[in-house]
Amino acid sequence: MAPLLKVQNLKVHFHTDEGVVEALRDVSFEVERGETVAIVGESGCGKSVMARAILRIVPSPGRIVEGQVTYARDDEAIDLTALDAKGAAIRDIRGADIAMIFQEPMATFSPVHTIGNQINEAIMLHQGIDQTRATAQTLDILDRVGMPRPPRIIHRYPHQLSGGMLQRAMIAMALSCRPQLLIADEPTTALDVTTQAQILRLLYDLQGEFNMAILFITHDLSVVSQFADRVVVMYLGEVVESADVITLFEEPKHPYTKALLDSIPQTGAGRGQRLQSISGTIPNPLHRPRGCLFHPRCSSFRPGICDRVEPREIVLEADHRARCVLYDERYAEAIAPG
Amino acid sequence: MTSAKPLLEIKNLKMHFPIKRGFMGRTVGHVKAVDDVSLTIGEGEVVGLVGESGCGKSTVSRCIVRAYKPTAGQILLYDAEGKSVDLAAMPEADLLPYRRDIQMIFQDPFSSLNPRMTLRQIVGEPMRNYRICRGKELDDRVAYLLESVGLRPEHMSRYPHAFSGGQRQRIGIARALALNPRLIICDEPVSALDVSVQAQILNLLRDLQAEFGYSYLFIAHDLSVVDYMCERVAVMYVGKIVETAATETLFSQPQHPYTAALRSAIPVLNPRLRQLPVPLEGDVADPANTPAGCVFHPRCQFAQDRCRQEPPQLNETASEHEARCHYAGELDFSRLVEPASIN
Repeated sequence: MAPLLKVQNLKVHFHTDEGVVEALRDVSFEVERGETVAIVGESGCGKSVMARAILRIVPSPGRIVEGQVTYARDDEAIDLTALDAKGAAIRDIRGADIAMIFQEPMATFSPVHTIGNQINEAIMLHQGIDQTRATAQTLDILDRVGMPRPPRIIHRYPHQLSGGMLQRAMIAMALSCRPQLLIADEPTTALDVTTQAQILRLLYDLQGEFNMAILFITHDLSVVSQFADRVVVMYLGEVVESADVITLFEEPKHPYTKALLDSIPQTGAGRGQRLQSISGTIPNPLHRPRGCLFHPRCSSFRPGICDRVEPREIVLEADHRARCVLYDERYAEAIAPG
Repeated sequence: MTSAKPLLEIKNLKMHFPIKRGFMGRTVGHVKAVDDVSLTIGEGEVVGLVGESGCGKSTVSRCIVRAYKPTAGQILLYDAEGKSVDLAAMPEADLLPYRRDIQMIFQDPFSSLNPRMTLRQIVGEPMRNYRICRGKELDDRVAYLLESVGLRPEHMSRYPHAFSGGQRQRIGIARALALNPRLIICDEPVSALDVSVQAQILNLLRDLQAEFGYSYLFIAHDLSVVDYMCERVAVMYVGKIVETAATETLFSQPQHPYTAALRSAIPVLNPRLRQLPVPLEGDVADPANTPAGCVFHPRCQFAQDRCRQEPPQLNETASEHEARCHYAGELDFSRLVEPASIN
C-alpha cells in the first residue's frame, strides 16, 4: 500500500529583499499510516516551513519551487503541491484529512469566539451537519481529550483557559474530524514539564484510539526518543539523516546527529562530565556555507572535500540514510586515514 | 547544611503582592508569590532552584537583587570575615556597595541587552558606574572579559544585533562578571537557546565557576540542565520550597510526591526505555487563593485526609535532605510511571 504521505524533492524558497532564502532544499521522506515520524532540528532548519508546505500555508514571500507532496486519500493519490492554495480541494483536506496543532494555542483560536463555536465550525464545515449534532460531537471530543467539565468550557473564550487546557482544546479541534494525519508543530515547547507529560500522554493514547499518523516536529530529542517510530533530522533546510528511532539513537551516522545527541544533558547520566558542545553557531540562511552545510561546525571535517562537494544522501541500510561524504564510496579513498 | 561558609542566607522570605480593586484601590487579597522560603548558598556553591512557571522562583531572585522589597524575612549576605548584612530591610540608598557582589544573567538574550549600546559600553558600564577604571584601562578590562567568555575583543565596537543568541548570552555573562561578583543568579540562562548552543553556554558557566569560584543560584525549569550544573537543588511549588537535597539524592530518592512527579515527567533519552509518566492532574494552584492544608494535595495521588487539613512543615527527613510532606520517606513512587511499548 502506498504511504499515507510522500514528500519528494520538496523545495521552498523565500524571496526576500536581501536575497533568496532556501528554506527547504530537496527534502524527501514518507509517513506510513498510523506511525509517528519526528522531524528534528534546531531553529532555521526548515521544519516548520515543511509542515506548512504540506498544508499549503507557507507564509509569503515563501513559495514551493519544486517537488511533490503526495497524500493517499483512500485509493486516490493527490499531489498537494498541484492544488490551488486557496481552492476548495485543499480546504477539503485541511482540517479533515490532515490537521495541525501549533506551538502557540493562543494564536490558533480566535479571541472573539467561544471555544465551543470554533470547534463546532470545523465540524459543521467538514461534515455538513447541523449545530445541535455538531455541539454533541464537540462535547464528546472535549471529553476525550480530558477537558474538565466540557459543557461549561464550550462557553468560554480562549483567554479564560490556562495554557495546558487551551492546548487540549486545540488538540480536540484538530481531532474533531478524525484526521488520518496530525501535524504537531512543537506542541509542547511552551509548556512546563508536567503539562508536557500530560499532552504527550494524551497524544499517545489518542493515536492508538484514532489510528492516525503523527508528524511530530520538535527540537527536543528526548521527547523524540520516547514518542517517535521514525526520525528525520534536518539542518539548514536539508535532511541530513533519517532512520528508525532505535537505529538513530544507537547508531547515529551523520556527525550532526552524533553531536546533537552528545550535547544534551541527561539526568543521572554522566554528572560531572563535560558536555560535548558543537562549536560555532547556526549560519545565516542567506550566507550558506559551500559544500556540506555543516562543515564549519563538524568535528570530522575533511578539508578539500567537505568544503567543496555537496554531499549526496547515502542509503546505509534499508531505512537508514545519511547525507555525508564519510559514507560515500566515491570519496572513500580520499577520506581513508593516511 | 553545607561544609562551605555561607555566602547568602535567605530566612523566611515572603513576597506578597497586594491585589487592588475598585476606585479607591482597596486591597482585596494577596498573591503569595513567595511564602516562607529559606535557602542557604555556600561560598563557591552551585544551588539550583526548580519549579514550574508561576511557582515564584524568579520572584525569589528579584528579591535577592532587591528589584522587589520583600514583605518579610531576611536576606543575609556574609563577607569574608563571616559578618552579615540584611539586604531585605536595607534602605535603597545603602544597597549600592552590596549590589556589586550579586549579579544576574537573564533568560532572554535579546531583550536583556540595550540595542543602542556597543559591547564596550554594555560590558564597561558596571565598571564605570562603580568608578573602577576608565579609558584605556577600561578597554583592556572589557577585552579581557570578552575573551574569557569566548568572544573576540575586536568586536568591542559592535552592537548586539550583530550577534547570534548564544553569543549574546555570552555578552550578558561578560557583563555579569565585570564587577567580579561573589554570587551570580542565572535565571533560565539557556532555555531560549538552541540545543547545540546550550551545551556551549553550560560548559562556559561551569568553567568560569571552576576558575573563579563564583557561587551560582541557578534557576531553571529543565531538570536535566539543573542536574548537570548544580550540587544542591531546591524544588519550589506555589511559593514554597517543598524539597531540598543534594542533586544526586534528589533525583534518585525524591521524598516529596511533587519532586517525584517532576522527575518522572522528564522524557528519558533512550528509545528502548519507554515510559509513560502518569501525568499530574489539574493545574498549578493559584497563589492568590491557595488550598487549605498541603498546597499540593489537589494534584497529589497519595493525598490523605491529613493533607487536606494540616499544612506540612519542611522537615529534615534524612541528612541534608528536607521535604515538606507528612508522609516523606513512606511513599512508593514507582506507580508514577508505566512502561510503554513501541507501537
